[in-house]
Amino acid sequence: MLGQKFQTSVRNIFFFFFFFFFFFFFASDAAEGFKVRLSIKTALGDNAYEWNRNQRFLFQAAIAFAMSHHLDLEFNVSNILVCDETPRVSFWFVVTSPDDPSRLVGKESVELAVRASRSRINNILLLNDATLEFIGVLPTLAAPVKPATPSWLIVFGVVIGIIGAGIVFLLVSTVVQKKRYVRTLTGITVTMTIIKQ
Amino acid sequence: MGEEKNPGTEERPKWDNKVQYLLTCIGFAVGIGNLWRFPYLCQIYGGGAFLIPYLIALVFQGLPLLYLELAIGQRLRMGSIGVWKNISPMLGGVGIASMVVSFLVSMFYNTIIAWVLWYFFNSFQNPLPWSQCPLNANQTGYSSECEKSTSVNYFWYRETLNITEDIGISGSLQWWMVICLATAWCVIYICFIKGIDSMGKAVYVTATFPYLVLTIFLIRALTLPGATDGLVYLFTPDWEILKKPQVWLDAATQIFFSLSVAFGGLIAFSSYNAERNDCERDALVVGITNSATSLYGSIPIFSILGFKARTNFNTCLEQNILTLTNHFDIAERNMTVENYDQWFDYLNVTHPGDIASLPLRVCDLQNFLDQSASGTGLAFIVFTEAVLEMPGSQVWAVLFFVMLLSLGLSSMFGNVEGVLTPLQELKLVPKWLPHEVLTAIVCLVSFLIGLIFTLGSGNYWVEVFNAYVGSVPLLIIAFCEMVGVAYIYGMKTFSEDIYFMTGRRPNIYWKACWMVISPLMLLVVFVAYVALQAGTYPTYPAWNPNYENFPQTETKEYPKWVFGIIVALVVVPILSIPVVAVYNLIRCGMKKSNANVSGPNPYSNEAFEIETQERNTQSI
Repeated sequence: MLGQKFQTSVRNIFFFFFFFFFFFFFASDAAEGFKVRLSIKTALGDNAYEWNRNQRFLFQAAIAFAMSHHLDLEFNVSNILVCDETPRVSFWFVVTSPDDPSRLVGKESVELAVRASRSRINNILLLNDATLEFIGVLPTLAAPVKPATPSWLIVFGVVIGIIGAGIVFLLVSTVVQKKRYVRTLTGITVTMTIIKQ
Repeated sequence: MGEEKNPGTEERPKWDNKVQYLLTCIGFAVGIGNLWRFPYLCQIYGGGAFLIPYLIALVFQGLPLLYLELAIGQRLRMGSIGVWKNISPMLGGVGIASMVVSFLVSMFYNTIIAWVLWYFFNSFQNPLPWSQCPLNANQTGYSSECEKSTSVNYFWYRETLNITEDIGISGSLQWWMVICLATAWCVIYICFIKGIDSMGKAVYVTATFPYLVLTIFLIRALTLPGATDGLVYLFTPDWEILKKPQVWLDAATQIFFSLSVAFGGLIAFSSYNAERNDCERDALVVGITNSATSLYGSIPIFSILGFKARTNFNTCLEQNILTLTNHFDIAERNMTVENYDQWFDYLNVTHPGDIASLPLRVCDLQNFLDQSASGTGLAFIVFTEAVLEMPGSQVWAVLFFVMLLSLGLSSMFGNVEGVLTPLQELKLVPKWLPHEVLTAIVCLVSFLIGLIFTLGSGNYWVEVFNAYVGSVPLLIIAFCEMVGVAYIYGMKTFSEDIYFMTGRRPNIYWKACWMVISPLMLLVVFVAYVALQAGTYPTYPAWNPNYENFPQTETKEYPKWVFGIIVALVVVPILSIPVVAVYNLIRCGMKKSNANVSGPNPYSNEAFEIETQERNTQSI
């Protein structure tokens, strides 16, 4: 029994030092972790939710989903370690490997996983690329939608069509008027010549 | 008498009613310049104080010139060429000069209308195309040219103009600009197709619509936050500025170009009037309406500019707030625009090193208000940016560009009229050519030459034409007009004409202006203008993405060949004045040596005397 207690206490001390090391690494920049910054009030205004333990759990679950999806391994919520939270709502997180909790997953893999599922993560937290920032991860830019015919050409077509129709109508009406006038004029001259005779 | 009235005889066209005539003249005078030049001048010349030189110039220079042109056209019932030939064959060149200037101005002015049309076509999208930057070639980020400047600048310089870096680099024809220019000329053609019958109907819309839109904008603009900043800034008088001569010069030139005199268009318009018509009242109405419109239009413009300045200021502050919040991990919404100053002072005391290292912008509202713009910069850059911030941007954009379109079209009518009427009086056109075909030919030729302005360097050419064609030649023409009527035609004859038309002789104020004050002012303005221009070699701002201070424009000097073209543009229109005068002097001299010398008057020849006699018998 003493041996068991000794074993657990040794393991606890071991984990304590392990996490102490982690904490030390978290505090420095050259870590396997990412800093995350949320701007919930900017994104949601009056519908903003309070950042608490449950919301953090949702974040961890989202990242676990992204990692599982990208690496095709089974990540658990406990593999996502969050710390150094501030009132800003910003914190650091690291991802441990599911096979070996003492090993961290590399920064590049995490970055690729996050980028691949970025919109999904955004939607889960009701945020977007600007309000959920992963410092160091570039946002994926959506190409602007380009319709087949630029809309300005359509407006142009309508305008030029109306003008063209107007010009044709006015010119034709002038020609018709002139012809009708000439006809009446010849009519008058003919009648005059008949009367004279 | 006894000849039938068939369409195509010499029967002079007439206005349907007085309102049509007045609206046409007002529309001609009120142009885009009222909106994008006058408020700018007010702003840089000390706000309310600028109104003093402006009103003085209006009273002593603008109104007399206007009255003179309307009276002479109405009395002699001919376009600019006929009128001046009538007054004295030596002055025939003045009419030709007016026609040439009108032709050159109409070409570049319609390019501006083409630009307005392009923006109008593009306003029917959501989101507006100038609100976003396009992605660069490999889709990793935004286009670098757009990022360094703004999306609005990018849309104007790259997607509209596709401008080159130098006036010497012509680039190619921009097809979208070509079709917009073709549309603009088609609109002009359809309005002129039946001469002033169709044009007179079109002005009911084009002359009144801008006022409607300005009122809508006024109501909207006054409710925007920051509107009062703009208005206070605009109208706060700075009396010191009246000591600078540049202010008086600019006020005089502004009045002069704003009233659209010396183009020949006003003479043509008033020649279609009834003989007995109170042209003094017409001149006062047109002149005062023009200035009142400038003032009225500057209120919504400056409210919106004030709103834009306030929005930019808030954005600047919010960027700083974000930087500080992120750096110090302060909770969201704790630091706001209102308590920014207190937070900043507190942080500066507690963490001065950090504050110094952060890229904080200096946000000064005055700075943003000082960002003035005039001309195309105001309409296509500053205003389009402001419209983006207003809710319902598409509606405001469409309204704004339709207003600019109406203003531009009604001014174009005067310019084109200043070309068509004298062309028919020159008797170069065969009689069998219908009026519609002549108008079509003029429009087509103007369009083809105007294709220069659709090149990559087109905007630079518009600036050249705007600065040099629409300035010095007009001053000279106006001076010749005034001197011609006051001294060659004779103030006595002119007073009799006015008595015939209006029923009263012109009072001492008009006479003093025509004979002394206005010509003197014109002369002073002309000399000052030339002196200022001749002092420095002309330069132009070029949009060069490779410039080290980009997005600022690079100031380049015009190459020698462009300078030659500038000189030609100034000299060629007014060349006809001395040429025709000399030609007639020689002819006069030869005639005199053949016939008996009646008197020592070198300006009279027999044709002139018979004509004046005829007119005297007519007027009785």
